Amino acid sequence: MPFQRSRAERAFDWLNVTVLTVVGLLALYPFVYVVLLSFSTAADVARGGLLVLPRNFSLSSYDMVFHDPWFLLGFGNSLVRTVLGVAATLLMTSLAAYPLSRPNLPWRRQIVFYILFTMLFSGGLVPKYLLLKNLGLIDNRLVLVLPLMLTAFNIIILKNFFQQIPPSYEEAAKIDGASDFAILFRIFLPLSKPALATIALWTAVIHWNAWFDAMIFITSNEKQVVQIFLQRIVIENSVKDMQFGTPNFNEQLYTPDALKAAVTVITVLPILAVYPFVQRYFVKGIQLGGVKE
Amino acid sequence: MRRAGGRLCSALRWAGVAVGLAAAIGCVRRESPTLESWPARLAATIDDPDRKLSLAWQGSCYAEGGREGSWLQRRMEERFNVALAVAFIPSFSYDKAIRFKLIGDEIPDVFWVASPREAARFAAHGFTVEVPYEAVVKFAPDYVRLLQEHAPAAWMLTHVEGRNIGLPTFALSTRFPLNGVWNRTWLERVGITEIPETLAEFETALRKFHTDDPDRDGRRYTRGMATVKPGTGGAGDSSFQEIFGAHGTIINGWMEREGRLVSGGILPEVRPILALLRRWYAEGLIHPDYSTAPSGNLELRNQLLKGSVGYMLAWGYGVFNLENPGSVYSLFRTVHPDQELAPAWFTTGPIGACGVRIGGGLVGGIMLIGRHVADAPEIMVRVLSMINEAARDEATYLELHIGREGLHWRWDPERGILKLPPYDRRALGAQELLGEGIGFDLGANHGYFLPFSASQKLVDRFTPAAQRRYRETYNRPAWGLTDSLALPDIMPSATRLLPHLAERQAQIFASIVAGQRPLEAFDGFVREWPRLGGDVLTREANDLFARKQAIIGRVRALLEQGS
Repeated sequence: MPFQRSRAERAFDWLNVTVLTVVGLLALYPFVYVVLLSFSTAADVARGGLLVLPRNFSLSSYDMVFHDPWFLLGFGNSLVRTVLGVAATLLMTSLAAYPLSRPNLPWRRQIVFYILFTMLFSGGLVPKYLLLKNLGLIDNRLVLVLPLMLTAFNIIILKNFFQQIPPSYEEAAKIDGASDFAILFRIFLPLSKPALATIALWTAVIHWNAWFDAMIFITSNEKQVVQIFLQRIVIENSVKDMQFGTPNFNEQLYTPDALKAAVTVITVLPILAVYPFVQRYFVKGIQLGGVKE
Repeated sequence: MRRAGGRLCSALRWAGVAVGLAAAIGCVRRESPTLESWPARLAATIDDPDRKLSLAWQGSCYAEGGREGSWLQRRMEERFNVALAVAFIPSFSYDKAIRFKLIGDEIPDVFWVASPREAARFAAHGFTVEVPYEAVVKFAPDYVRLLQEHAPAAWMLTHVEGRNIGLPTFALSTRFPLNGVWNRTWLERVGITEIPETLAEFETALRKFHTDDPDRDGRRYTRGMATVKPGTGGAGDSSFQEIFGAHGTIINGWMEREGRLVSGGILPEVRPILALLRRWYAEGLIHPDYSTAPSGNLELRNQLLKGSVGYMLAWGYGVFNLENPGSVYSLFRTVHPDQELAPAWFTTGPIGACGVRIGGGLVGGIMLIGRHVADAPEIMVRVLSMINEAARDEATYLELHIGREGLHWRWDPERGILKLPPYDRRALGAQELLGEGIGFDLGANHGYFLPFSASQKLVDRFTPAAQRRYRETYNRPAWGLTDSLALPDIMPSATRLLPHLAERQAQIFASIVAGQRPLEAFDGFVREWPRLGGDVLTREANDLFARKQAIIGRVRALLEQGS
């Protein structure tokens, strides 16, 4: 007999769908509004009353942003930083997590303790600056990659995942004469895609959004990241459009509110573009933090 | 085996703690430069212009968009036979980032800070060397003359315990009070044909804006005026400054009363002004969001553009510059093509006073000389000479601020200094370190290397007639109210005490105006002000005030001797 759902259950389902749809639209609308502002003219933004679609479609805000000579360079720096950072993080985290996942590693517990210990506190920003300065990393692009390369949290996540892999894989490989490096790169890493994808996504988001380290450690605009330029565009132009005396600056028909919106859209787009490809790993990866040894 | 391993592990842990403690306790001791003989060595130094010097120059943070090897950098290097190492720190993080540079012993030979407090702090920590008055007068007399003419009190900003710790800068724009703007169409619609001048006329206009539906939409949501968020503004709380000015008072500075300085915020005349504002707020004449809206003038502009208010304090001529499509008036006409704006007169109060706070030529920016220069005094001599050359020669000033005429800009008698393509894109000009104005433009970038205004004479030569007429009509210096000391935060204890006091004052005043606290809260604030540190600040301010003429006079005397 086919399963029959009661009227109450069907009503509840409808209510559920309706409520969740409304909540979803409410959550989505602020982003829609930001996109709407970014494609609006200065007059329309000033006039207000915008709802879903621009009253008059305009690319002036994007024109302003993309004509900033530093913007594309900063965008490139951020992309390079993100790609390099993710690659470096995955490589170094794997190299750290694999031996720690092997039960026969001497002093394994003590090493894990020392790694965990570093999560409790940090040395502070001044010692970090002095250390990086002494390493010659100030105003060096590597300063955006190296300090974030290894984190205790990622090591523990990957270590725990490696520990879930059945030991028979390793035993079989060793019988065939594989070295530890071969076992890691040819067996463990291919089996660890969910964990690696999760760590890669977290790392990518961290690198893409990071600005504080660039603000302190980078002092030449050629090496700056896009977040700094975007902050500068918003902060500078929200003030400078008030000034009087530069009548022919060719930045017309924009307003800081639309500019901020365009900046927001540009910043969010790369992560939005990447996320659909990794989200199937993300759900499984979220569970990784809960695995205990 | 396990016990041995446990003991070893414990030993390793303790070793780690010991190393960490040693690192925390140990500090690298730097050698202090011998500075006792510094003024004498500096006075005896002769700079050879043919000798190329290497300078590390951290310029104004407002010129942050530059690049290594920019046009202006190369021009400076050619002109003065120097090799410049520059760095660009984002302006929104400058105060933090510059400290890291100094702590990391990357002290530039010349670096700029935004406030006298920062300058005094860095000097106290030994990051800078003294810039003796004698040396400035000897090697940069034309710059000193420029300061004496336009901002004689500037030396108060760099005076610390009898020494001069840096080079003050000045901005011509801060000599002129900036007036407000009325919605002229609204005034006409509510039956007011003349721009309000007195406080009574001002209040009448605000009331009619609220009650008589000036935007003709059948709803009564328009308000009279907006103001900046309390506690914000470059010189502290700038909200309602035209109303306080109408009573001859500034609430964010020092005012002289019977030969002594008193904080403007606790003067007895402030009480009735707060009562007036409180009544206006209760009647709906003031935009209710003024204390919670985002800070900054942008919010004021938005309220005017949206038709929420009919008056705001603005920024002078540029608001009305229809040549500039980005000006407030241009945007306003786009949104409200049937309405017009008109410049406002400063509101005259019951005692005949009017105006707003001005800096009197003063700005907080100060150029400091790094302590390593103590070992190479020729660097300071060269730097002072560079500054002096820009102050002395108008063509040099123009070139080292806005670039070369014909290449970067051209002069239009009607429209003023116009940027030539591609430098008419602000970001491209900023990349080459080209400034945006030469002195009269509020907020304009005065330059990375030499962040000071041109002389009034030079600015007038490059000010279009219309803009000059506007300034002479609406922005007369006589209507500006200045701090009797110089700037309100140059006392030694200002860093420690002033921010909290200023915040407390802003909170109390805003809550009184909004009706959240009774008017008696002002009396309570006046009583608690000394206890919160106000007595210390008052004592220090009066001590500086007593020496103000001596400090300023010392430079003048040296200049006259040198002449």
